[in-house]
Amino acid sequence: MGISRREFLRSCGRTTVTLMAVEGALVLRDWPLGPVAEASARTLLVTDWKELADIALETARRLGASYADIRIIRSRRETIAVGPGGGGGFSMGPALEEERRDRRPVRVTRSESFGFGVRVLYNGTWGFSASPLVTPDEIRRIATEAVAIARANAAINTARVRLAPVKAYRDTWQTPMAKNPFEVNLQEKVALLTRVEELGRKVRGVARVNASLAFVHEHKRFASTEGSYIEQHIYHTLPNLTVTALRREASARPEIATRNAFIPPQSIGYEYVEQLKWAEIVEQIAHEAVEMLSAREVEPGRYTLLIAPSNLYLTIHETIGHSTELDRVLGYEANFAGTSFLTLDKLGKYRVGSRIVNFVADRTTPGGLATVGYDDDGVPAQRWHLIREGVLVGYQTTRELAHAIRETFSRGCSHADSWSSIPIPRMPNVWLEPGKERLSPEDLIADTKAGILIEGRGSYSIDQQRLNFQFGGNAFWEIKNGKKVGMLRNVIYQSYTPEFWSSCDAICSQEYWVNQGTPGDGKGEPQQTNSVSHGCAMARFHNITVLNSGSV
Amino acid sequence: MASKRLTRRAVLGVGGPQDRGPSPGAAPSRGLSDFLLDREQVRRLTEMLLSLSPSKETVVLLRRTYATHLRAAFNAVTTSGSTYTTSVTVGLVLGNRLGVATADDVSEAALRQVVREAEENARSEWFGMPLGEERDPLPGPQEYLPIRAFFESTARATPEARADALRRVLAVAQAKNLVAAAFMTTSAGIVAVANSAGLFAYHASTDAQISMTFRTRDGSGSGWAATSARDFEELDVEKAARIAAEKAIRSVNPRELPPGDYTVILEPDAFADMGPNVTALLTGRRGGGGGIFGPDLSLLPAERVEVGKPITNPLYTLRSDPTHPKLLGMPFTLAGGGFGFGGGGLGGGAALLQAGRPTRKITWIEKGIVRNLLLSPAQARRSGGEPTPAPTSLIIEGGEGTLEDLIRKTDRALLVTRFWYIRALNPILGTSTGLTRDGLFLVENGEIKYPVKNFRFNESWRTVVENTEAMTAPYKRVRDALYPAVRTRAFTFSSGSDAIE
Repeated sequence: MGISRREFLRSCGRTTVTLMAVEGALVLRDWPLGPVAEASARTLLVTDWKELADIALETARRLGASYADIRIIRSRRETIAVGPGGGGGFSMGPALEEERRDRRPVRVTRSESFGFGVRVLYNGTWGFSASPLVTPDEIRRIATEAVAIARANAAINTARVRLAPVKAYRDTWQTPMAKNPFEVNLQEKVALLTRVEELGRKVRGVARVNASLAFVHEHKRFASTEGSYIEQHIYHTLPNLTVTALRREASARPEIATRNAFIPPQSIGYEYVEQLKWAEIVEQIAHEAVEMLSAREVEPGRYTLLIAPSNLYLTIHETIGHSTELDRVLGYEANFAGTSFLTLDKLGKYRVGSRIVNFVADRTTPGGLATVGYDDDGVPAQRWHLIREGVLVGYQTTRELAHAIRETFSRGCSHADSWSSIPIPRMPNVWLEPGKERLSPEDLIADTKAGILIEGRGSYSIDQQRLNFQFGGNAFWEIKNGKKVGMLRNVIYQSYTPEFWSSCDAICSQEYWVNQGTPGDGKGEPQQTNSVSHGCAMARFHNITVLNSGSV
Repeated sequence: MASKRLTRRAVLGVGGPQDRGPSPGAAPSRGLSDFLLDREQVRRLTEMLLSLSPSKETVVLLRRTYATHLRAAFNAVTTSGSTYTTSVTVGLVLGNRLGVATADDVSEAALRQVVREAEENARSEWFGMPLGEERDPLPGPQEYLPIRAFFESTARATPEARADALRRVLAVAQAKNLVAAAFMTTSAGIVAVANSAGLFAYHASTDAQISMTFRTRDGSGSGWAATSARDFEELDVEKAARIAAEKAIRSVNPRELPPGDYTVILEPDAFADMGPNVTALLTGRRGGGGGIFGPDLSLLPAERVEVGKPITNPLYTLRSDPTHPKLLGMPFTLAGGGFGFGGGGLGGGAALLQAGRPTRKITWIEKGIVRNLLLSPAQARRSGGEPTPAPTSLIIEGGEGTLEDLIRKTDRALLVTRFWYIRALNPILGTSTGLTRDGLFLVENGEIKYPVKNFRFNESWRTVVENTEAMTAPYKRVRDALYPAVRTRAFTFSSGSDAIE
């Protein structure tokens, strides 16, 4: 498959195209909206962003705001997918699916979004407004609107926001990486995925392989009336690989099984893609997908579970990550995401898990999807304990929330998912610390008389206080007398957060710790997404309720 | 089923802010008036985009939205803001390949660039999408149902007016010594489709929505309510607040009942979220979200669904009516058929070329019997039938009376206010899991007797529909459809939950 010169230019020459477009704007007449209509959104190309930022801050201050900040954000995304395409994205009849099927063997999409949002405090009340038109006039107008909103709400408000102090920072930060994924030739990416897809399809019984790469780049410029001017380039690399196996038998319904490799998404460059052992990964999951076709139905009951990082990360996210968000604890999210069972009276006392269970919140470790230089309040990234030796010892905070637990500084958890979103408290990376004694997954299996090993994510659901949860998985093995003795299907486990973590009696050691994560953490109204990592090593849990998802 | 009495006004499209605002070219962009382009401004923009295209098959979609939000928690305002968004999508065909590109502003430079990118994508093996051999021609000029969904009261609602609506909600909570959290949104937007076969469609609409959760001060009770209106002046926030307050107070000290099968009354939001998969019903599929598999991997037996034959519980009638005053839905689709609830989604793919087809009033299922099937233009051509419009603005009906009437006629059932965190369990069986939340009550002998601790359910939407034994008249818009409350037998609650607030 060749690459045209045009595609080559497209993959490296976008900025040039944009600049040409700005020049073009100067010569055209008879514009449908009139000569002034709308200035180009590309003003930034010819203006110092700090000057634009100052317009927002000065406008807000002049109108009486006690605090203001502005985020000017350009984000871009590239996805390359190989393997049979899906339908048009809707659930339709098979015939319609077929009509809409995207038949391209290789599908590339690129998108870009650019705009700014201004947030202000007026008399202790927030106001926000956002626009994609990054021009001085529009910034003035939007800052004015943000103050007008804050002022109207302040008139009815009964509580006043208090911000924990923060220093002024003038800094730039970039995701540590060796190779910018947006500078890697498209042909190279396509060739890699094509090779992986072909390798997977060679395995007997495999019907389809889908391999994709997604890359995200967020260029975020933040300025606030505290005196900070912070510019950050944040990169995410998100590989995905699934294999579907199919067995047709003349009389019965065809059997189908899909295995996902769950390659951890990371905040990292293209070097990560190059270092992955694609051939090993695809061959392993292809064989497992075929084996899944013959997996036995699980018998409902109480089981010992060995949970691999590719499944445990989401359990951590739902049970510990969300329950230690201080805004939830205080009731900010009561109308949608819910509150938390980890109420303030439990801080420093309440046992969430066994003594070997330690959770760390962290926005500093390279690779974590929530790792940044500064949050959206302009607070530097930090690392702190949430759960130590099984006991609740900390919460996730922002400048607005810190005082609620009598802390004098923010933990730096403020985040807005785009220029058009107002920053809200969001989850940092939340790690499960590895076990202190050297312990491998093989050791743990050998040490287990009877149980189920769970890999990969499946269905997941948890109540609004983060207690009753029910999670599925992608692949399951029965363990008997210290050995994997065959695959199971339709396993879902249901438990209660403190009961579950209190039953944890073994966690594998550092060497087996995997930085799993998700780019799909949802919260807030209007809902925003967040990317977080939940590194962990395989852990063991006792006496957990298991159901069969095919016969509930 | 198109109405024969379409007026010229309907043909031109109705609603929208076209009768005010400065004439194009008069003043720089200042605020909402200029932002929500009127019909003629949009027509000129789309004509220019079409003229820039090197293809004779070009479609242009333009959408602009002004959205505001206002949140409260613990009886105080928390965050609030507004957002202006624009999207201009151009799809064009070159050499039997579709290229699509999107811009986020309507400056001349952006529009020239978006056409150029669409052209480059159409010429690219990787960025362009190959089209089938016998694709449908672009739809030409169409007639649309007259739907006036734009209300100045909503578009022009000031920050003070929005704050006052929230203040009235908080006042209800405070009067009952409850703790309120709430979320209110307003939006005003325009959307337009134009293509090189002469189709031009323009629609303006507004919406206002509010939801709220009231909790008791000790965290032992929680109640939820939500309402919406296209016209901000009709948004009855006090009524919703009274419902939330009553549920919160009544839900204190819930009793624990054992997991098991119960008859349940699902209020409209619970029913909508649990969701009968209407598209699956209409296309005869038995699964939930099976669309990920092509025919080569299809698990679904080729069950024939035929017009005139029963398909579901005879209590159910399902029809589309975009003109229904409680819906005021879209007069046209944005992709060939934004099938599924909500409808009108921006499809990628070849369906984009069919954007701008009119929506219609149509009955899909009448008392459980299929009256019309989903037929795309290509399917219709093959089968010799008439293509059907997209199933947008759905109304689920079959019962009469109010929720109170339904409760009065019930011997024993659990009344479910809403569900939370619903996720598919088994797509083949259509089963899902989730939890009750913010108001679960035992109804006995026609009365609400006492609150019940929350449950997790594991159940399929098919069972919900098949076991339905009674329903109210449809009364609540949830997203893009109008729902009743339904009473259904043998709904499976699998475990309990201590979560209240």
